[in-house]
Amino acid sequence: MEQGIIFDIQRFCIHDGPGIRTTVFLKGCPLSCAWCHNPESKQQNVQLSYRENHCVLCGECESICPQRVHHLVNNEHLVNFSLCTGCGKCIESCPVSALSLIGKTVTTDDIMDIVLKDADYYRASVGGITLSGGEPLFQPHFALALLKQAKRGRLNTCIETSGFCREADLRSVSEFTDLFLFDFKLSDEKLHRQYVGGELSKILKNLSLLNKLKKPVILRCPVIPGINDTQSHFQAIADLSVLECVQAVEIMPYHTMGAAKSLNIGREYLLNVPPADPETVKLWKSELLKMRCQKLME
Amino acid sequence: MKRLQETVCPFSIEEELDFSEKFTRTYQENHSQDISTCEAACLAVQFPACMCPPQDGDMFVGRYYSPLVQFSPQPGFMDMGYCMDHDKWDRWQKSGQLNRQQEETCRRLSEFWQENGTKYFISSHYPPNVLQWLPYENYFQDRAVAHPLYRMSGTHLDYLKLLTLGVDGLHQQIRKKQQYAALEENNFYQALHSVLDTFSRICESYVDEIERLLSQTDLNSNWREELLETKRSLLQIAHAPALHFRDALQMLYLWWIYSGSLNLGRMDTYLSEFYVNDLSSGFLTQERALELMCGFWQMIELKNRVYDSRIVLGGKGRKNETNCDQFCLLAIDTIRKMRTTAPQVALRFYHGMDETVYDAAFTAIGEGCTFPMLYNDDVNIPAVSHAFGVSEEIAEHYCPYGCGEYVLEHQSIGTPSGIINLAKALEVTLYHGKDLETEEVLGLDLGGLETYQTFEELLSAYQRQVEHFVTVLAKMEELEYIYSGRHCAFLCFSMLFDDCISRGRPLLDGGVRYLGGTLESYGNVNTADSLTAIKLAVYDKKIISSENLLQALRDNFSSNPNLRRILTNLPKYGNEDETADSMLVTVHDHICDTIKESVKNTIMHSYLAVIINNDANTVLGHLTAATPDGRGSGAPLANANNPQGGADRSGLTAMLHSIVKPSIQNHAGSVQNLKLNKEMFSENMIAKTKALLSVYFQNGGSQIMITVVSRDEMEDAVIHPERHQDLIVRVGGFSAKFIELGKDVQQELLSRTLHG
Repeated sequence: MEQGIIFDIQRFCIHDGPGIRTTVFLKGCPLSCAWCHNPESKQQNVQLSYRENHCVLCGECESICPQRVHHLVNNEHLVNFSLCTGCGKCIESCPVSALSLIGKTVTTDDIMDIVLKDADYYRASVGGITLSGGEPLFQPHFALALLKQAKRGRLNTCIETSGFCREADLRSVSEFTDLFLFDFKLSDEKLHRQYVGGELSKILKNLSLLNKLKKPVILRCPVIPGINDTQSHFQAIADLSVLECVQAVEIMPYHTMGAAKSLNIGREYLLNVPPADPETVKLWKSELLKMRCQKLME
Repeated sequence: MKRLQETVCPFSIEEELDFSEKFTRTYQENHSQDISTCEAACLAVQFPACMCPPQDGDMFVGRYYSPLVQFSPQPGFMDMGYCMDHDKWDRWQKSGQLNRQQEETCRRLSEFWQENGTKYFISSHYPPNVLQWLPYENYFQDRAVAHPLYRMSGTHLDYLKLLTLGVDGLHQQIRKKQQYAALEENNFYQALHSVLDTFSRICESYVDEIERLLSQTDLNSNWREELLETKRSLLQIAHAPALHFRDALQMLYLWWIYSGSLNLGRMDTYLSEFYVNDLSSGFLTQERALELMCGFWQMIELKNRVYDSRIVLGGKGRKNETNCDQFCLLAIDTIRKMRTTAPQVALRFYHGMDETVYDAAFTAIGEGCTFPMLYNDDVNIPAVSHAFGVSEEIAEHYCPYGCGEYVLEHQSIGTPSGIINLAKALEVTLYHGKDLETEEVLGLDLGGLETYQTFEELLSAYQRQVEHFVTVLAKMEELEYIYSGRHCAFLCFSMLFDDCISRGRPLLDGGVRYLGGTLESYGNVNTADSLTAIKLAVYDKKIISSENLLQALRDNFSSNPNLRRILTNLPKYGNEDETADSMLVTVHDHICDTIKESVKNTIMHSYLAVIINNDANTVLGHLTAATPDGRGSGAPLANANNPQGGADRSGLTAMLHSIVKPSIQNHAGSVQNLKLNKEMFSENMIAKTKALLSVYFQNGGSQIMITVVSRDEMEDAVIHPERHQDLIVRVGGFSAKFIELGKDVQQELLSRTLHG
C-alpha cells in the first residue's frame, strides 16, 4: 500500500471545491513562495514545531532530548531546529503541548478511514476529498493512489496545485481528478523565480495540458499588495480566464497567517506586507472585470 | 418594528393593597369550600380588575398588570397558584414608598400567604428526605446538587375548541355534562361556568374602555380604526365563537393572558381556517393579515416571557395541511418582519412536507432570526411514542414548550419541577459528599477519588449519587402535583384540556389524561468529559495522581496549571472520538433511564429527563468548582447536549456525528445549538448548508436551533453594542438580543465554535 507524509486532515471544508469536503494536506513543496501561508508544508520530512506562548519552561524537553535541541537559558526556551531528527521524545515529555511534530507518515487506508467518516455528507452535497499541501504532486504516487481509492469510493476529487510538477504526473492524476484548483501567482518569469522559486513556463505548460485534456480548472490567484497587484498581472489573469478549461477565477487576497507559523518552526518570514483590506479587494475585482476577466468568483 | 410601550400601572399602591386584601378575603371566605369554587371566586376578583387599557398603537387588548397577590400558574417569580410577590414588597420597602399602615398590611398579607400560598401548602407536606436533600430553591444563588422548582408550566391548550365553540358553546358543553353530575363534579362545572362568565366580563369591560377612548377627540385616526375593529371583535367573542381571523387572534390573546398558560401550541392547526376563509372571502388581504400578525407578535413580546411563549408550526397529523401550510408561511413572514425574541417559533417538519415552508424557514434562519427552530418529526414521533409510552398516533401531538420540553398538546402536562446539576453530583462524589470549595455537605458520602480503587468504582459511586437525588426529585414532583391539585383547580387549563370536562375533574385531580413530570438535567457534557479525563489520566495512564487532581480542582488549577493543560487536551465529546462520545452516551443513558424508571414509585404517567437550557448552564456553572475536564471554577457548563464551547475541534461534520449518538428515546426533549457563519447562507453556500442539515436529520438529529452571525460580529457587539441592536442569538432554550445579555452569558456564547 502507498505511504506518504501529510501534515493535516481537515473535515468540513466548504471552500476547496464543490459540496462538503475533507481536505488532506500533503507535506513537501518544491516552491518557496514568499507569502506561503502553510510554511510547515515546505519540508517533506517530519519537523518540530514549538509554540512559545504555551511553554511553561518546565525543562522536561531539555533533559530528554538526545540531540540537545532545547536549551533553557535565563527563563527563555531556545530551540535549535536544525539539530532535530524528529524522534518525538520531547513531544511526549511536554506537559502542555507546546511542542508538536508536524508531519506524519500514513497509508492511503489511514487517510480514507477518516475521509469516509463523512461519506454521508459528501453524498448529499456532491462533495468529497481535496488534496492540498504543500504541493500534492510532489508525492505523485501517493497522490495518485489516494485519488484512485477515493474514486473507488465514488467521491468527488479535487487537487489544489501550484502546477509545478512533472507533466506525466499531472497527466496520470488527471484521470482521477474532477477539478483542479490551479494556482496562478505571477506572470513575469523573473519575478516568478524571485518570489516563487520555479519556472513559470512549466506551470503554464501544465495548465495548457489540462486545457487540452478538458479537465475543469478553477484558477486561484493570490494577490499580494506591492508584488503582483499590477495591471500587467491582472491582464495575464484575464487572458487565462478565457481558456476553455477555466470554470472560474478566484482572487485570494494576501493574509499574514504564514508569519506566526514560520516562527513556530524556526523559519524566517521575509515578507513585510499588510493584509489587503476589503475595499482594495473590491477595487482589484473591478479592474479585472474591466479587463474582461471572465468567470470571476464573488 | 418597535416594541410596544410598557404597561402603565393601573393602581396606586393604596389601590393595589385594597385589591390584594379583597383577593385575600375572597380566598379566606371560599377556601373551606371546594377548590374549584374558591378559584373561580378569586379569578372573578382578579379579572378584569388587573387588565389594563390599551395603549397608543396596540392592535389588541389584553395588557395585564401582575399584582402583589394573585392566582397564577406561573407568575414571573418562582411560585405558583395562590401567591404573593415578596420581591415587589421588598422593592416598595427599599424605595420607601410605604407608609406605616401600608407596611402593616403587607406584613399581614405576607404572614397569611406564607402559610396559605400554594407553594407553602406543597412544601409543608414534604417528608424529611426531600427537605434534607433539596434545601435550596434558589438555584442561581445556592450551591446544591439538585433544586426544586415551583411553577405549573408546560400546557398547550385546545385553542381550536375555544375559538370554534366560543363561550356559549363551552357553557353548553358543560351543561350537557352537568345534567348527570354528582355534587363535587357539579361544583367543578359551576366553577367553569363562572370562569367563562369572567371571560365575558373581561371582553365587555374592554368594550367600555374602548368606548371611553373613542370619545376622546385627539385620537390618532389609524388607531381609532384599530380600536373600532377591536371593539367589533370583542363584541363577537364575549359570547360567540370567533368569526374572523382578527377575532380569533384577540380571543386567543385574552385567554392566553387570563389562563397564564404562557405557551401557544400548534397555531397553524387552530388559526389557519380563520385566515384562509378571510382571505378567500376577500374580508382580509395578505398585507392586512401580516399587519395583524405583527400586532399580535408585539403583544406577545410585551409579556416578556422569552423562556416560554412557544408557537409550534407544521408537523404530522394536521387536518388540512394546505391551509395550515399557508398559515405557516404567514407566520414565517411575521418572524422575518418582527425579529423579536418572543414568541419562540418552532417548525415541525417531515418527509413529504411542502418544501416551500421549509425553504421559507431556511430564509428566516439565514437572516439571523434564530426562528423557526427545526424539529424533525420523522424521528421525534417514534421517540416520543417510546419515551411517553403512547402510540405513534398520540405522539403526533407532541409539542415543545418552554425551553424545549415536550408535552402532548392538551392531553399531558409536564412541568419541570426540579433541576439536577450532574457536574455537582460528580464533584461531591469525588470528595466524600462535600462541595470541593466550601466543604459543605451536599450529597451522600460514598468515598473520595483517593478511595475508589478502579474507575468502575468511581463511576458506580457517581451513579448511586445521581440515583439518590433523582429518587428525591421524583417524590418532590409527585408531591407538587398532588398538593397543588388539592389547592388549585387550574380552571382555565381544565376548560381546554381534553378530558377534564368529560370527567368532571380539575386538571390535577383526575382531569389530565397523562400526568407527566420532567427533570432538567445540566452539566451532562462536562460530567462525561470529566469522567473520560479521570479514566484516562488517573486510572488508565496514571499520569495524574488522585491527590494532585483533587488539589488542582480545589484551588482551580492555580497550583498546577500544567495539569490543567493535560486535562484540556484529553479527548472531548463532539469530535467523533469513540472514547469521549461513548462516555457521554453512558452519562446520558444513565440519567435518562434513572429518571424514566423512577416513575414506577409515583402516581405519574411518565417522568422524563429534559436536556434543555435557559441560561442555567451559566448560572449553575458559577456555583460549580473546577471540573476534571479542565473547565475552570465558576465557568459556564456546556449547554444542553452540546460540546463544551471550543472543544469541538474536528470540524462540524464530526460534531454533528457526535451529537446524534445519545439516544432520543428516553427523554422529553434535548436541544442542540449551532452557531453558523453568515456566509453559509450566501447564494454560493446555501445548497451546502441545506445538504449539511438534511444529513444531520437523516442521521437521527432530533432538533436544531441555529444562530447565524458573521465572524467578529459578536466580538464587535461587546465593544460597540450600539452598532448591533439587531443581533439575535440563541442562548439555549431562548433567544435574546445579544447586547441585552449579561457579560458572562455573552462570553459563553463567544466561546462556542463558529462553523463555516
